[in-house]
Amino acid sequence: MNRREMLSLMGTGFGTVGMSSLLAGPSGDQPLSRRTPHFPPKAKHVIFLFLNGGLSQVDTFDPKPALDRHHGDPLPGPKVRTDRASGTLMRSPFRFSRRGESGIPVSEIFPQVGESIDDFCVIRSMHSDIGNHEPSLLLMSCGHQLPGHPSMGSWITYGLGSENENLPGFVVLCPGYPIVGPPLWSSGFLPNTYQGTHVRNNETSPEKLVRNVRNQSLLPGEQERQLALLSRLNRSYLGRLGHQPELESGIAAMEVAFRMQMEVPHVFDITREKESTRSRYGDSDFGRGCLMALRLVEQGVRMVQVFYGSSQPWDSHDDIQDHRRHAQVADGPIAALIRDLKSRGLFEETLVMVGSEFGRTPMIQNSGLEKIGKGRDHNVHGYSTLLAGGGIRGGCTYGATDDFGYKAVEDRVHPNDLHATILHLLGLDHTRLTFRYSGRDFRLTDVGGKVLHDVLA
Amino acid sequence: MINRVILSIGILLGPALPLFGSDRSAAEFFEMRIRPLLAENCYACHTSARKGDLRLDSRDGLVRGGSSGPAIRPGNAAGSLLVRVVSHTHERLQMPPQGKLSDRKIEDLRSWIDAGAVWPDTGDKLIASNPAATYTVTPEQRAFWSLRPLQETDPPGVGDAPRPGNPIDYFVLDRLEKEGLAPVGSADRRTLIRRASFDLSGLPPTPEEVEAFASDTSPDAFSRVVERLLASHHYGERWGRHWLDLARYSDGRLGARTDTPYPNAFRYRDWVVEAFNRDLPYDQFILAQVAADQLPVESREELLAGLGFLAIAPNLDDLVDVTARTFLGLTVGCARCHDHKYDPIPTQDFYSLKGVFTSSKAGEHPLVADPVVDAYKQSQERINARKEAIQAFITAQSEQLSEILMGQTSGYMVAAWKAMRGNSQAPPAELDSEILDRWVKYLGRKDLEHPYLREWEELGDQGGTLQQVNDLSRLFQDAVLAVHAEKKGIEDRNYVKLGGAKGVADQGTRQFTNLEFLDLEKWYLWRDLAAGPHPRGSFRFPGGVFYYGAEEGLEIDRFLSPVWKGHLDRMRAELKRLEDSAPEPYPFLHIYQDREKPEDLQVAIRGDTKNLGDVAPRRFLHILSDGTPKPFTEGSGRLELAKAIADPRNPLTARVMVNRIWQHHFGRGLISTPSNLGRLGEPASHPRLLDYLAGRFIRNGWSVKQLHKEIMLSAAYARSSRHHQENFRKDPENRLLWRMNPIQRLDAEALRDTILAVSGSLDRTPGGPPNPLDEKHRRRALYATVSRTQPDRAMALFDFPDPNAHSDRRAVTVGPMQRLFFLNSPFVMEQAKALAGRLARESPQGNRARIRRAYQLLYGRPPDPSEIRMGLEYLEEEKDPWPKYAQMLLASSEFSSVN
Repeated sequence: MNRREMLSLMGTGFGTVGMSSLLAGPSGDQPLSRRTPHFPPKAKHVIFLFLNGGLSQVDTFDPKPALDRHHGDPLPGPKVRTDRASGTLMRSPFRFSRRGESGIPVSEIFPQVGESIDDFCVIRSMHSDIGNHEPSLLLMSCGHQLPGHPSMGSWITYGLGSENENLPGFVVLCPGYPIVGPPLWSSGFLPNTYQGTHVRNNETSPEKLVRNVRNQSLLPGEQERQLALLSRLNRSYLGRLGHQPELESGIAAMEVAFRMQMEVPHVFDITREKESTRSRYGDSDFGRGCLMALRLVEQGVRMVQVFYGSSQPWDSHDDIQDHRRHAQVADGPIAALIRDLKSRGLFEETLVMVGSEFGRTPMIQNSGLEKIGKGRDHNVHGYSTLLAGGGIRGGCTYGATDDFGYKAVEDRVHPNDLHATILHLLGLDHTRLTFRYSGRDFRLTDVGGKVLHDVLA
Repeated sequence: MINRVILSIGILLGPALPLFGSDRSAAEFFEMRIRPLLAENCYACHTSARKGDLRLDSRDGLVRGGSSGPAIRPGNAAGSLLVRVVSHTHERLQMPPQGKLSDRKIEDLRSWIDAGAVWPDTGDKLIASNPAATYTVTPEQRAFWSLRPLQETDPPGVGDAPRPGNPIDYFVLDRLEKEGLAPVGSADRRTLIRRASFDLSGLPPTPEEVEAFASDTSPDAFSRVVERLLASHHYGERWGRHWLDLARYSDGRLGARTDTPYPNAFRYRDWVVEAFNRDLPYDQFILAQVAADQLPVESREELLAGLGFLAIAPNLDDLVDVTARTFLGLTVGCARCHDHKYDPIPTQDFYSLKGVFTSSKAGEHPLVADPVVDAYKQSQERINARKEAIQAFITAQSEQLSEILMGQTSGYMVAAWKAMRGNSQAPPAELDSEILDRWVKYLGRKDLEHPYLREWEELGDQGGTLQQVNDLSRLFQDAVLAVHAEKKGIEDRNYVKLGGAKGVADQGTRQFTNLEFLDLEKWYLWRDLAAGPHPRGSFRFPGGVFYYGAEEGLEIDRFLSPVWKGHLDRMRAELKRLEDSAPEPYPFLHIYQDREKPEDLQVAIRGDTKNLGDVAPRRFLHILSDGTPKPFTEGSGRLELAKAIADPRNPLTARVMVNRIWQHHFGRGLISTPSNLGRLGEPASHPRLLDYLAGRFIRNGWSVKQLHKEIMLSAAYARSSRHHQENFRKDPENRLLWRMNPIQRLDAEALRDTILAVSGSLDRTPGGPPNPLDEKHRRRALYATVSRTQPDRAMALFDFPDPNAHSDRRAVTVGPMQRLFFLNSPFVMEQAKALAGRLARESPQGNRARIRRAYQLLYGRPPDPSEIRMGLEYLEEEKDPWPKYAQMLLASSEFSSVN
């Protein structure tokens, strides 16, 4: 008997009155049961590696030779308004070289991602609306720049359920909080079951990773008997009240909680991976996050969103060389994740997205707080996002920014378009995945969104 | 001709620049050189402002010129007025006024004009669309339901049936009858008193209260329960917290990583609690929170703390939005960038209100005599002055040391080179061994971000001779000194640009000033050697090779000569003495007060504070005024604003508050979007009832307690939450109130408080400073610290709202993480133990009696025989069963539900 079978047996079997029998119903009754998509999907899972703070496109995946030629000149055209005082164009301090069979240029700070660039489609024409972190993080995570809207992970689990009801369908890994925090994985007006479960991946012991996941004092068997009692208490209560859907979902949650206690410590415990595997992910929160994401997806979690770090690490206002330092941490795990997804047969069914809330200006930010003045300001007019895995055409680029990498000019992609494409790959029509709230049918893509057919395999 | 021009420009501009070989390069030249030049130096006056009747933002504008004639003659720079003006060869006009352009820029202009003044048409024009200064609200807009005056009607009669309940029921039954629904019956008395207790106090009734009410058959039994609950101080704690959700209450201001404490925010919290407890009329409650400082002296004292509503903001930019949502149910914040898309709220209105708040400022109102305040402030000033003096002294010494060590660069490098090659010979006496170690480490690094040591590195690989090492280290030392000199020059110039020490110290000024910086590679060189540590943020650095300062482990002390060291020690000792003898912080209220000179704001076009439009006079909203609102005239206008909100003729104020109170009794308002009564909000389910109650509310002197009584004494409130198939089919959401809304899960505070209450651990002391919500916290959750950056995770798990934003409804979520809290959290385990202990004390007679007592304590009802049996079975099979049994009683759905 394998673990999963054992657990499912326990689920139906614990106590004299199994909770599952109470909850038995046609599949689809339970919020996290697997649901049939609109059309056959290319991918089943999503891993969103969020390099929060703002990844500079011209220093990573969108090289601009014109910046070298015009280093020190003002950006041509009418004066643009940036969030802070911006100066002249600044060349990238990093060298690019063509990588893989596709020959897509990748910055030297991402050598290992470069190694597997043929797995990626590089979207170079992202653009969004407002140049502050908060609205942009919300737009990228929830399709809307104001808080209170369901996150992409919530929409996806709402649309598809999960492949494993004993784990949360949507897991968010971040050592603390990114800017904005929980609204980025909120279920908004969707049922709360679809809210992202935030796990602090800087903790190493499973008990600390998920709060209250392990009872510190009960002996084996005691909790099972407790839960059997609880199940009877709840049944008795339910019997007094009659039809009460809210109550039933609470009881269902208790059953999931019980099984989570078994499965969670196991799935988050990366020490169960071979040392050779772990070493590829490096000794960093992000590396551990990527490895946990792999394990979670392997266990059937629908979506994992890994934030690179708390606050906004990639926000290199002062010194773009910070990108090198962060890339040294991020490069290995991203490549290792792609490789391990492949070796475990998950790559074809997992969509991997690497990106951030916006890009950075090709101009230097010559105002500052740290007296360094070698960084770049926020830029929502053009930035890059990488896609790989299930249903994505690897080794391609899509769209383009202008000669200086400031503004997306070709095949412009709004986060709504990206979301529409992700839903499409999961077999969901973004115009049909709706929820009625406050008198209106809402959707992840708001009133926009077009599927990027050119990035599909 | 053209060829000659190209040649001359080529020489002038150097090879790096695009030339006029084609239209494209002419356009590029314009974009790279001319447009930025015009934009930076001329646009401030010569676009829409049209100084001298001249616009310089199009070729036409230049050719047409202004009051002094055409600015340029394309193809003829020498004959162009613009060139003479910028070259300062015109007898009268010399531009730009802020200083003559560089020769290169003037040459650029000449070349461009000579080559025909190519101005590519990119279609972009400067847009200066200015939201209309006058705004008319149409009659259709004024006719929107929530903006019409209250439509008070008599309660409808209901058929021939005898009238149950109170007038509220006539409205409710009238609707039900029209829709063909029959209400379900009343809840049983135990359910009702549990419902009422949680509603009014956030705590369960005691078993004695339940049984007394269950057996009290007098007609006013429930009315007495309501009176009792309203008179308890727990009432204010419960309803004050509802208000604090709206007021986005927190004990700190939002910072980047932690809160900046609002140390006296709790006095606002306590004031709100007290205001509910003594039933402060709601109009007074409004006046207090918006303008208590401007009220007559006799009422000011007790209302002043209400200004915390404004003063404890997460940042001071949300006042218009929070004020309008909280009191008026309008989303005025949407009009910041554009006229409201749905409601008749022009951008002007946003800035009219914002002007009121920016003409005011947060402040403190000490609760002690002036001398106490002065003593504290003076003490703090002395401490800060001492700290600054110490820091300044150390900084100066640190810089001097750095410069001394820079001059020894070569010596250290040679010594390091020797040491790295295993030379055990002691280094020269003038060198410091720790610094030498740093050099050895530094020169061994392979990841340097500057090229100044490249030859050195190459040399290192091949060994090199002492002569080479000497030469290279001297060259390096020269480079270091040169970079340092350059940096000092830059700092001097930046100091001027920032407007002196004040600007240097001001974050805002620094962010928006174009500063000069060292070239990147030079910066890295300088940083590696001389910069202090930078422990936080994305840019982290441990400190340079030469750096010694105040930081732990990097103290400069040992480099100071005895006289200097003695001075520093004395300063530190003095600081310690000052700190030890400093008086405690004095108590004060966070308040708001007017600035000396109130000022109207200009509209920020599309929210862009650099693109300002018309002045928005400080005044009330158009939609709530007859015609164009009159400008406020008293100070900032806050009192006039508060009065306009609290005006009984204001159609929104009473409707909004009545609906909020209804919402907390029924789980949902008559309007289900309680802070949006605009067109995007949901219309009221019972508009006539809402207006009836709003009218009563005003006539009853804005008494909130009176309103509670009317609502709670209705039959609608007392209804069962039973399911009814036929009704459910017709009205699944229960909008028509055919039953009480089913199952309301206790919110985060009620849940925690109730666990403590039933276990006998709740400390009911009211008020006072907050404490962290840790294991030791035994008071009501209301009295726990509310952080804007570090939300309490257990509270957040049960949907405590984000205190950075106004919250008009708690989310109610259900999920496995909440269940894990009941299964495993130390808090629940410990309270279960306490509960078991309490049961043993109170019912020593045995398991059966204890089970009965437990059900009464936790669920407000006796157990039925099967439940007793269920308990007994469990208790008999387990070892030490009571804590485990009690825990499951707490974990059960019934415990956290109100029906």
